[in-house]
Amino acid sequence: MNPEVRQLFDDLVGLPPDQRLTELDRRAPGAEVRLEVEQLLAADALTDGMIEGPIRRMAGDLAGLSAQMRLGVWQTQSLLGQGGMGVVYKAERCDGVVAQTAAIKLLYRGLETVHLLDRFQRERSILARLSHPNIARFLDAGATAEGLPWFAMEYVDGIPLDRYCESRKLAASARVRLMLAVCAAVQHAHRHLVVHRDIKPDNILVTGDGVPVLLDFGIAQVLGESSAKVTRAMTPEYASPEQLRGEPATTSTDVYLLAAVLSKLLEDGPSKGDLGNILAKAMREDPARRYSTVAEFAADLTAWLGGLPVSATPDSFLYRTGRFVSRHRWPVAIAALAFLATASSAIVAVQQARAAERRFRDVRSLANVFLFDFETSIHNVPGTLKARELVVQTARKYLDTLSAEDAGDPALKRELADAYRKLAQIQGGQGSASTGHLEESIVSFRKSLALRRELGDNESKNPELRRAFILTLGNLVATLTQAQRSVEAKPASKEEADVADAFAREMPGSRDAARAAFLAHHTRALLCMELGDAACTLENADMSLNPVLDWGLKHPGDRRIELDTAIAEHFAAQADAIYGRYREARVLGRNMAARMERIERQWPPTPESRRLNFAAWSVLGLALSGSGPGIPAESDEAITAIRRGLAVANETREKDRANFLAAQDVMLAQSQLGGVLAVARPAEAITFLEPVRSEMVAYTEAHPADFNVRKSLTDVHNDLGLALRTMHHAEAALREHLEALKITDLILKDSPSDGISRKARAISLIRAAGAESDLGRSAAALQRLDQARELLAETAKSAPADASVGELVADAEKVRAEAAKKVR
Amino acid sequence: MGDPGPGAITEHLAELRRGCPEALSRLVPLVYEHLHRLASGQMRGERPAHTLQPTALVNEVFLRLGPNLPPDVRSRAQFYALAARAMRSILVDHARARASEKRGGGRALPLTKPGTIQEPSRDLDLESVLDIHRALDRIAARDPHVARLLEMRFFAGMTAEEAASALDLSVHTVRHDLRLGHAWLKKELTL
Repeated sequence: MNPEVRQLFDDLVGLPPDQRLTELDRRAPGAEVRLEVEQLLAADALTDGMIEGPIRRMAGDLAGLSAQMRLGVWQTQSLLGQGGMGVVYKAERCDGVVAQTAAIKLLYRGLETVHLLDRFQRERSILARLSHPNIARFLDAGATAEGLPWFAMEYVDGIPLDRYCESRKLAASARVRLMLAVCAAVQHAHRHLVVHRDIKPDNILVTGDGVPVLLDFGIAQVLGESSAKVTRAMTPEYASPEQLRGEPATTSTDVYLLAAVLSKLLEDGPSKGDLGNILAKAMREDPARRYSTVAEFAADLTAWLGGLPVSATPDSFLYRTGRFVSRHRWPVAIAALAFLATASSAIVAVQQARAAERRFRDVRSLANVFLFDFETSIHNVPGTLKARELVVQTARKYLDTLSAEDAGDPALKRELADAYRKLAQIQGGQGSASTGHLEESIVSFRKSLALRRELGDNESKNPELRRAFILTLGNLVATLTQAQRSVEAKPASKEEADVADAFAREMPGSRDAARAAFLAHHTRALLCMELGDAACTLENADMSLNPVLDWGLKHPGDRRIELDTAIAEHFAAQADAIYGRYREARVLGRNMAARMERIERQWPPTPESRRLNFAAWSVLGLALSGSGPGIPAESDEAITAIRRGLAVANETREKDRANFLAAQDVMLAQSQLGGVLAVARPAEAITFLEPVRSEMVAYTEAHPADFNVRKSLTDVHNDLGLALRTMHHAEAALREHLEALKITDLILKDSPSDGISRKARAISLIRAAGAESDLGRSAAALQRLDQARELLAETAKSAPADASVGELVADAEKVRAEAAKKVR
Repeated sequence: MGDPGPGAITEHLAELRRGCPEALSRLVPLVYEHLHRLASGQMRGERPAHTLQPTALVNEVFLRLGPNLPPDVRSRAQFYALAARAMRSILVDHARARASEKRGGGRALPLTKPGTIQEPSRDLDLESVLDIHRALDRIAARDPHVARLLEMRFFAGMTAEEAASALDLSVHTVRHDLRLGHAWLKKELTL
């Protein structure tokens, strides 16, 4: 603008209107300038509405229209909110099939970079794999005409958790109960290897029915997938210390976040005493020192609600599973495999049993109809947790009344027995399997069993009834184990095995009877191994194998039976190798490897058969690499076997990078290989073991609650030490053994009776003593050997059937003789 | 919600320039709230959460700005200026498309729901927006600075204080420039 015009306008516009023209006259600009200034002054008096009005209306028009879009079968209605990556619309289903409201998340326009598209798709696939009443359900997905991705979730009509608690002035116990439901949701996510990472009150909506629903998996991460950097500023108020430090999140992170939310909810009230202790433990700075799982945290909260003592260091089922699969030079994950395979077989068995149960539905029991139909129909329907609880309570009361009135009517008794079992399964079912529910579940299983005993089902000639009895016992054993009541599980497991044996004896041709015996003894063998009873373990491993092996020989071509046989062979081979019976272990391992090759030739491979194939080669390698009196190690053959297993595990991992177990299997096979080579080819062994050590250290740091890999790391340290010592690097060797000792100390502090960890500790001590002896530190060496001797003596006493203890004692004496010689 | 600090935005812009793709997604939530407020025409810290209508407009801003932020975007000021420019072009495009629909030619905008009935009173707004657009072009030809201020004021809804802070000028100067600019624009529209 002309500077003169500008100056005049600036000067004049500040004057009262009636003085402006006088001043303009006084300044006497040129005609053109004067006209422009006059026009500007006149325009200045006009309202700005002529500009603002149309623009704002146009913006509103544009925005109002675009809030209504058609996305697949959905018509968006209004905007619900916006986040870091996209907007969320409320939408109605418009295909005339069913009325449904959804929340649709749409990536921001202009943000469709590869990176963000990838993140958006990741959230979508994470949601799709989760299905839980306390998680907003995934409904549908697609892309707009312009290629922007969207996905539809269940629309949750609720208010944020903190506001809900405030507005209803909820008591502390009610707030804890709400958080328990959120814990169940997070547990579900963890079971699917998903870590939420952003749990906060705004992401938890409570519906009018009081059901909390977890939302927004926008920065969630799949464990084992390459860790995506958090690209969104977290709410510092709720972020965990490791997140603030920029470290990777683990399931412990979610434990912290859950506790942070609960602690916010309880801010006003005093949370001293047990509840304060629970929160403090869950929010410890060091993730490894928190509850290792959400289940443990939830169990303590449940205990607090029930006025029960809370445990300072609760021993969770997962951890216990971790414990009994950890041994020296022990392909840890494989025991878990057998257990999982068993569990899934048990599920199949339960499903088959349900078909039988359905027949009863036709009869007359209201209780049955109520439970079977209603529960089935609302199972997996979001927001029905409370309703389910109500059903369970009502059903329990009703059943208790019926059984009190029972005047010896066997048909009613049987219906009651079935109904109690069904009730028990619901009580102990996923998603609500807190400690309290497990206890209720145990009570119901016991009631069902008592009724069946009264009816004589445990001795019935009717295979259907006998099987139902055995399955119910098996359910009880599994639930007792899950509730950390192994000691009580032992008699139940004994009875299960006895009844199953009698069943198999009386019905020699029955497939069901053979499988029942296999499962009963397999469960029992696992339990005995956990309780450190070697004789019982070996005996039941055999008894688990025999029935399916026999049945399979008489009825070739039954895939399920073949796989069951492989599982039984695997467990037996492992138990034999662990307890020093290498000859038996080798025979079983070779049979299993041949069986798996045959199975995979005959039928298309499945994830289960692939894993069993790996397990076969791995356990054969374990058996071949062991040596005892009169049975030397077959190192070359062991290496060939382990390499074949490694190839299978690698192939599985290549196909599915998110496969957690395959990644662990690869690490295990590599460490096994290094162990076999440690003495014969130490340099080569080190090239295997060093990368595995780094990988395992990184893994245990990222997953502090996962003890399986941590225990294998003990073996890796010990084998590296052995290889280093063979190459005369005694100092470096000693360092490795000391690391191994640190881990076994940690494990034994928590579970002092763990026989296998004791053996691992003895090995670390003996090998450390050897290295110290090389370094001329004989006194230290002798002291360590004394410790080892004491440890081995205890182990020999508690597990007399373990032949490998004798070998370790002999090893220790050799080292002692060497060290003693140097003292002289 | 307060204005995101200039530091954070400037830093994220710098990251973006360094080729760090995450920066954009960190930037969006920071600026989003602000832009949203601007688009809704609600100034001076009123809560925008209840008037979400113009959010789609802000989405459109990102359509224009998003990954195409020029490498010389150095500051929050420039970002807002660009946002204002983008909003203007979105509204003008929309007005043009509407006008052409009305004439029976052209095709529907992707954002427009087919079959929506146009309120007659809005026809005037279509012409007004196009008039404002042309007037701003004329002003820009003679004084780009004033045109930019006007754009920020009317298309990004910024106050004199905000524009001053964004452009690193004194509020006094910007007030004067804006008063002149308003008068100039109204003069262009009425003559």
